[in-house]
Amino acid sequence: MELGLTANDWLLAAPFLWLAGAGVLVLIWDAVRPQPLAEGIVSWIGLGLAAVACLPILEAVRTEPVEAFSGMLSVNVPVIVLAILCLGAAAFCGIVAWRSLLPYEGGRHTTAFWTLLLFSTFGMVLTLWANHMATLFLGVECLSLPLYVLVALRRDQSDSIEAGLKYFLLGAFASGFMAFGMAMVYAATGDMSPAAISAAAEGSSLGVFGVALLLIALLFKVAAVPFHLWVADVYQGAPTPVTALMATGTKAATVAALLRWAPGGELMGPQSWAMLGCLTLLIGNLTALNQSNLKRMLALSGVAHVGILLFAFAARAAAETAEATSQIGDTLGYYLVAYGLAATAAFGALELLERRVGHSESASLQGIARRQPLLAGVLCIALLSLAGFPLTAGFLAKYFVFVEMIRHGLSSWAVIGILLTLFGFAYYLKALVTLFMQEPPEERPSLWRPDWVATMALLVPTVLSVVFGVWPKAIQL
Amino acid sequence: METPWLWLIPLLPFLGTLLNALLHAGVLRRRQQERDLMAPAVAVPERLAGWIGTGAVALSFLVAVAAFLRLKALPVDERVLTATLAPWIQAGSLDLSWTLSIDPLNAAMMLVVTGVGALIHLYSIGYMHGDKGFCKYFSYLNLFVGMMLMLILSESLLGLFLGWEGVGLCSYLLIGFWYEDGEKADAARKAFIVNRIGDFGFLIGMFLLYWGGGGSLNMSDINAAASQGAFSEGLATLAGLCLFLGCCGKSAQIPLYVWLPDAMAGPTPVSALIHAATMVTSGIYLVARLGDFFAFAPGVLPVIACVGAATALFAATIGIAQRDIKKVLAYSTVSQLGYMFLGLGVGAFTGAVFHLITHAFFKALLFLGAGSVIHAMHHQQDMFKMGGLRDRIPITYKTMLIGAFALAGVPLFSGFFSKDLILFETATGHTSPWLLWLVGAGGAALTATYTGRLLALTFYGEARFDPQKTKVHESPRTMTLPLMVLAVLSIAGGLLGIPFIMHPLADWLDPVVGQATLEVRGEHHPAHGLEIALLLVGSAIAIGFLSFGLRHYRRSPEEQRSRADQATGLLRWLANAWFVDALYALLVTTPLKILAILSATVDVFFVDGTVNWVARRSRATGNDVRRMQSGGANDYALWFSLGAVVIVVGLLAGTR
Repeated sequence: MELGLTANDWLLAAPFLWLAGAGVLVLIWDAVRPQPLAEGIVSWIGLGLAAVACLPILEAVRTEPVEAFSGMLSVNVPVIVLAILCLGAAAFCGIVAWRSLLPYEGGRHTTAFWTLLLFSTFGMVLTLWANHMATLFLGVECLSLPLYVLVALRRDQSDSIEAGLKYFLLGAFASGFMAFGMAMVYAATGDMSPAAISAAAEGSSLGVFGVALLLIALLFKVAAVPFHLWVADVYQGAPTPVTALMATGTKAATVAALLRWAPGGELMGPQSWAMLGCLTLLIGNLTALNQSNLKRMLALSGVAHVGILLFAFAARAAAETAEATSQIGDTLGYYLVAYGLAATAAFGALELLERRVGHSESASLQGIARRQPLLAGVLCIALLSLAGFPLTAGFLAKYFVFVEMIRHGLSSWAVIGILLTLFGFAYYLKALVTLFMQEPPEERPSLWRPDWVATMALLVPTVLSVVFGVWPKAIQL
Repeated sequence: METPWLWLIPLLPFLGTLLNALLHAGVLRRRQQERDLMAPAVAVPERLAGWIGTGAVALSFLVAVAAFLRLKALPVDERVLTATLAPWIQAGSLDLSWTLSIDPLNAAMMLVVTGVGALIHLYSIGYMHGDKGFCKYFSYLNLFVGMMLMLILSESLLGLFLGWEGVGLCSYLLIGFWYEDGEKADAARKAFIVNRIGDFGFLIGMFLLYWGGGGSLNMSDINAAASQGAFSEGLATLAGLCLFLGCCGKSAQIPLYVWLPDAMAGPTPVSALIHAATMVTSGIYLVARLGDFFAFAPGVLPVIACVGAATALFAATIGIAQRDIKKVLAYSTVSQLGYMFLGLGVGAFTGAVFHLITHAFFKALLFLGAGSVIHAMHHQQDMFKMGGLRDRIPITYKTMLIGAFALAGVPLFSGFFSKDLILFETATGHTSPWLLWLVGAGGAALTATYTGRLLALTFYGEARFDPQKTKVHESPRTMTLPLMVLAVLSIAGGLLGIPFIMHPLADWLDPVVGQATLEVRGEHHPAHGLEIALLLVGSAIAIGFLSFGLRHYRRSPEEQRSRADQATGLLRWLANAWFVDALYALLVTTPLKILAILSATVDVFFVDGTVNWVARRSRATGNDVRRMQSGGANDYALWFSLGAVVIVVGLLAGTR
């Protein structure tokens, strides 16, 4: 049978084949003979093979971007690195969930968890690689729908259900914006590739309207102000392993999509982007300042990080050469990796600490460093990286963004941004004070026992946060 | 010549530091387990720590000897050994690496530091026996030797500064070794703070050198640049004075000498090693090493000569009225360091280094002897409560006698040759020779007098303590052996330079300081008649005043004691060190304290107030903003829609 596929098509399709294949295999396995361990192993192998399949693509795109399926997919270096990050985040989510989420309700949701995880990751990679509005829509939906369910997986907990429902309602709202926007752009330009965005910007107001709607949908997905309100409730309500996946994978995929599909300087100037970034940074930080729940605080701090990412978009809107634009793309990629590693480590450590004290209220985590020095240490490094403390990847990531802003004539915004990140130190350090410097409360006896596999897995992003902070060239962007 | 194993010389003591620190950690843990925080270091670690510490420095000495022999085998013009470990800083034109380099000058220093250091380590085993911080003590002492070697051997000025700060830290730690005693902790702080003033000058000087000439911090480059006239005169003078300020701090010269007498609060071997033989001579080493530069900088060497001479005399006057045996030796050290700077200032670089070496021998000997006396007298340091110790501790007595003769400058002892070389060069120098010679000779007379006084009050006459209560006993072998070795060196050290007969040290140092000496002093004109005359005058002063001191205080110790107790007139001024500390307190400390109170007020009310206000406002605003987060999905959708409207309208308006 002649499929009519080129070599590039196969090359780019390989990761999808592994992910989808693993997902289907898990489903079949469950139908034949349910066996949680085997399902997990199949899923991890699928994720691993998908990551391995990314490596030849990385080699191929070193020189120039690769397109496939008549231009429906297109990849470059940062996109592939982010895809590997998403796959890693998914694998990590599985490891952390193994002892908490999977045995839940007698392990009856194991199959659902693994298939949804694999399909959601599929969607993330597709979103990253989409070079056509149809694939973008497919990717975003394929990413979101499984997540709605994963968020609500703890069916007996009202906040989990509530989070899933809210996420779903607002997500559906945003999907409507996205589909409608795409339709209008197509109507105005007759094109569905990223080039249509700039074409529409110069054309009729119908096209501009469409671009605006698409932008709104994507801003919702990356959680920029004022479309960020779902984040706190959803991140807090979701099972923490899923939160870690959302903070890392979803964020990386959607921000990369925004980079490809957002209007450039001709329609939305650097000042508008910087204003949006500043607003997001300010509101995110201010809201995070007084949170008593660490998970919620981390969720809102993620909003603040989106603000800094939007600053990079402002620099991109001001950039004039293609080289400068691609440089900013690399900067964004580095930022997303740095944030993703720190967020994974932070939520992962929080999940393991939660198991000991029951929830993530900072009051019950007081002085936990005495009982769990390793986990508290991991959380400490993760928080410092999130805050942007030197010698961590988070510091360099912020530094690179602000350098790009100054390079492209946005110095005053850069100063404002740097001042606003100081708020971040206030709540990150407050959390550290809680963990390390307060007297621990009396401990109630519990059935808690250490989860060494997950703890060891946590060390990977933690160590990488420091390694990339000292030696940024280690990420081959 | 590239000789990588040179790094063993500083690294061996550092290794000792590490091992002893681990031992100390073990002792601490055991104490915690046994819940006895005051228990002395247990026998096994104590013995181990002592021998690790001593062994590390002794091994380092052996390597140093090997390096010395290797250096000696080279032709005279090529006597430099280097060892580069790794690059250090590469920024712009600044290119520094971890490099040791050994030339004849620092080879001599290195032998003194490791050799005398090893002896003092050995002595410490006996002296510190039973102390609860025994392992910690040896860890610090090893660290000191390692840092001192970094100071001496570094090729770059920055590496030297690293060692300079390192020895300062060790000095601080060891002066305050018995930190439970508040006075001793204060003495440590004083040493540290006073040295900061000097280090400030050192840093500025270093920056000026880098900035004003050729952009290199390697000392050989600086010397070469200076001889080629790369520095402007004004800048060279300023940089030279700044560096000398650093030397005044570290080497205890006027006006920064005040920390050294208080530094006697530390254990006595520390006083011998750090505050007499090695660390305090760093300033002399620095000036000699940068000799070509200082020779070029106009006006700096005369300043050094005057400060040195003034310190030599001034400190000697104070030394004559001290009751504490260690205080006498401390002021004597300040005074002798003054002689070395006097020598440097008149261009007698060889003389200064010669005196540095002999002083290291006899002053270490005197301090260790004093330590032995204090050990024997159960921590009594007041000389008026001693007396008659001559037969009770004979080895200490005999060795200290040799040290005292060397200090006083009795002919044929090492101090005689080195001190008289400096005085002779002063008298034939260019900087108001006879005035400086007179000051130096006056200081020598006072030196001989207080040396005689020290011997008389300590060893002769009747015992002024109750022999029944205070059981005096000779110190153990580990303590007397170093005394004997140092006594031999205090005599034999003179062989390094005997007028008219032999001067091996001068020949040895010539490739390093010869050029600078020539620059400062011009062509060498032999003046044999004058030299012989000055030698005779020097001998007469030493013997005359030494016997005066001995006799005067031997005859009437009780009368002297009552006079010292009443302390009226001149004696009061001398005993209180001319009230310099009080003067500094009035002129420096009080204004600083007032300033500190003022800035504290500004800090509390203005700075803190602003910061706290911002924090309060932020929290309040945060609470307001948090209301957006109502939890209702319909509210969220409302905000979503509002945002959507703004963006759509904004983009549409933007294209019009």
